Amino acid sequence: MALTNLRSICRSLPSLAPQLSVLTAQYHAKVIDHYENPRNVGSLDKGDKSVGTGLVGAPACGDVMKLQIKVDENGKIVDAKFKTFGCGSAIASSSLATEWIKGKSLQDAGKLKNTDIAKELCLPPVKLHCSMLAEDAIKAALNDYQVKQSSLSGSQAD
Amino acid sequence: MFVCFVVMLRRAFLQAWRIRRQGPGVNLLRKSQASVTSMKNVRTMSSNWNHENRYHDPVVVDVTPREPLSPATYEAVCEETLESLCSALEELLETAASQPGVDVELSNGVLTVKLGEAGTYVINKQSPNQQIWLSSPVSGPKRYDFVDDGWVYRRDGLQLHELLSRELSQLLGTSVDLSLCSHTGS
Repeated sequence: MALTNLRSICRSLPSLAPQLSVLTAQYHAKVIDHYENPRNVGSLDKGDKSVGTGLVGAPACGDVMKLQIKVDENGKIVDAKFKTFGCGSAIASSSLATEWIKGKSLQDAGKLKNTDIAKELCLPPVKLHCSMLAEDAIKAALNDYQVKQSSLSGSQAD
Repeated sequence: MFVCFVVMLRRAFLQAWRIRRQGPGVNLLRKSQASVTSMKNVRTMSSNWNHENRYHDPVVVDVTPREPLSPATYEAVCEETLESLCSALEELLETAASQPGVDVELSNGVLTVKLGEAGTYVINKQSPNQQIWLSSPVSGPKRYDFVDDGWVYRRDGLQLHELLSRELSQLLGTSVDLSLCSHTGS
């Protein structure tokens, strides 16, 4: 009788699989790819005059992103690095952002929208804020670079 | 073998329950700390962060600076805002509630409004910043500060309830007015 019960349980196992899979959370494959193989992780020299640094987010909120860009004399972003403390979606958003802005001009990098990042990574509604943070990190890095260049040109004029 | 199966099932259930309670980001968050950023760097980053200013908005429109609320006041205001929004939206979607994928749910400070194929709104309180965060299927994510008894997005100066009224009117094809809800501004 015990064997009969065991056989019936084993036969019902495949039908339980869909119910069990619903219980587990699902990340999109692209987010998992960026999380397991993040692109452009690292730091650039913050004091370098050709480097702009953007630091956004707050530890209390659960997401902090540091994004740095290196710009050549033609105004083109030749290198980008990031470091992110946060969820998989935040890491993927910042990783994708550094991939996209590399090789772009400063103007084109500033046009990158959080909606593009969210669409590419298929982020769910609750994670759209991560893509916004990545956009803010880019803007902060561009702003920091501009401020550095303005202060440099100002000191040269003096 | 039966005992092994029960143990396996119990482990899977407990793990899924843990993820469901804490959010899917927890396990990836722990791994990310080791693989992407060392704890030392995290401490350095957070110590460099100006905790007084919290989130630095790179783009800010001129909005009346907000005074920090006491934690108790913030919690009370958030609860009133979300509950009144929940009631108004439940009433609004009463006739559409029978359609598949339409649902309004308020739980633990998170208001989720599912509109089927039109998308999902998520409106939640964000205590560290004393903000309310909105995720809209139409206009994306926004973060609202409490200014003059209303919730204002500092980048464009628009009110939360104004935006919701406008977008829901478009999505539902009917005039939606949420101005009678709590904390819609003076």
